Amino acid sequence: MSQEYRDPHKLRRTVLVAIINNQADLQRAASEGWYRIPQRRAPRRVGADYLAFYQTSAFKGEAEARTVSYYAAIRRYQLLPRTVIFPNEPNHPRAEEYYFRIAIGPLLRLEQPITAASFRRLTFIHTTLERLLSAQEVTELKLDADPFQTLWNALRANRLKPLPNRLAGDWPVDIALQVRSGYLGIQLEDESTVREGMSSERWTILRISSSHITSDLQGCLREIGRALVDLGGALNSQPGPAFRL
Amino acid sequence: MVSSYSPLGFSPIQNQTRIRLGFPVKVLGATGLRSHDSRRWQNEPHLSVSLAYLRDIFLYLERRDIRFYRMAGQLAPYLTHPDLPAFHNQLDECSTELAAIGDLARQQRMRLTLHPGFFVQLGHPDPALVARSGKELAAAATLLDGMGLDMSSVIVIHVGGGYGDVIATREQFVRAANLLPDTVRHRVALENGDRQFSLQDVLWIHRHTGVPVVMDTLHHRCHNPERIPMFEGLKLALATWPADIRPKIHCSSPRTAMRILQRNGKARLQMPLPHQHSDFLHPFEVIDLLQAAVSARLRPFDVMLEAKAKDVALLRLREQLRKYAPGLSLCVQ
Repeated sequence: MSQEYRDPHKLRRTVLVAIINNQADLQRAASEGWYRIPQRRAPRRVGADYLAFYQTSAFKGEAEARTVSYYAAIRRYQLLPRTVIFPNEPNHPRAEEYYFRIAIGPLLRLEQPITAASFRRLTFIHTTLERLLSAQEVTELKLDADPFQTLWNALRANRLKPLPNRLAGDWPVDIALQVRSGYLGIQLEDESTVREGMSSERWTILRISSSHITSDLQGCLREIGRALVDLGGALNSQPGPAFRL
Repeated sequence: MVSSYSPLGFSPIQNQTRIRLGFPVKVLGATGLRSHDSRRWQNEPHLSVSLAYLRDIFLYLERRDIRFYRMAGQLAPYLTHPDLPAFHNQLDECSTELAAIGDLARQQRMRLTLHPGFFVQLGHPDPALVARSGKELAAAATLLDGMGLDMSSVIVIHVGGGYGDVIATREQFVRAANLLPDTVRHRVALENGDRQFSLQDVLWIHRHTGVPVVMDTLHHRCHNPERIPMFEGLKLALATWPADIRPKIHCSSPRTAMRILQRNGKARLQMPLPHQHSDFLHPFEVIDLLQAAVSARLRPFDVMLEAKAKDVALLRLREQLRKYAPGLSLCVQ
């Protein structure tokens, strides 16, 4: 922190919490000072003063697994093709796609790591430095009401039994509902997020945008209700009044 | 006859005045959206960080169907600061990112403008300051060019101070403006002031430079020694713009509420001053002006709303137009 010029607005600075799921990316951030995000799958907000890292359970056995322990000041954003960022991987399927290459300063360690209490799949979180320095649990970082939690609570309130974090083929879905013919997977999307090729046997995927949940929760529930009817109805549940079509 | 449908209610009527609303710089309608990298030089702020913020703002504006936005004047921090040469190459360093953000603006059919700091004063008696102003304008024009934006993306400036001789300052402004390279001068637009350089003055400068006039309605109310009626002023200002560039005006309402100021630990009441911007727009004044423009079938123009509540004020005004002037609201986006 000593390298940072202290200014009175520092705590209001913004932080993008990114997900890091392998040692190589963390090493690169620490020693080479950069991180990358595919432009096509970038979150709605990439701009921030700081970048923090949520280390997934891939860091099993390390104290930092499933915590936010490190952050760094953002120095620069560059838009570069993947092949420029990783010149030794010219045959990568996304070699020509553009990425945000985010240059960062030295990694700083939080005095108190921020833990993830639930096993819900995390995506990018936009927060403030004040929250980052004071939070104890990852959910405390979120500035807005979490659309996942809103939808989850609404499904539970309507006597459905949602399941979190299932895999539909190779892709994780945010919420799954068991139906007669398999599963209805609900994928919460940022408007800018694009997921392609997401299909699997026994799974039907329904995409719902976060803003739709925020602006029209009842409409989302009706949409889910229609999908459940199409799939023969939910198992182990008796959907409540919001699902009457 | 309604020509198109939009869920937000913008359905322009054929052959009528169309008006687009915009707001400047800060976004208040969403948490944590920053307008530019405001870190001090010691923390190495960079244009690329500002552009990342700008991209996030554009995604927000798209959701709100806002197509007119004034970017932060300090988008490229310390770009022309004479003592900080390390910041001078940011435009070159960000050529790809500038092009990408320009592409996004075009995809969203967004008009972008700039309003550099008040130190840009082409009418200043000190030649060094005039040269610095020219440099700042050239940098702003290069930034807009780098984004690939058309000439509707203008850089709005004021004449500045009068320095005891308004006529001489006006003439000095004309000389300096005419010495600007064409690529810069064609981006510049001039706003009337609220204490000096009335609409009549800036129209005089327009006649000698070709620089189009951005009429600021509140400034015109505060300083209008020639007593030009508001609507006449609007017509005169719109006529200064080239046929292929949509004119813009600034619109705001004066603060009317008392303020409590804290100074040296003491609270003091401050009476509202007429040139201070209010949080929101006076809806009926805006309706009167825009209704007059639509009734007279003036050419389409854009309105930059200078209210302290920024995008929230714009969204509020849209609601009020729909409620109090539903016919007019069909012409306003």
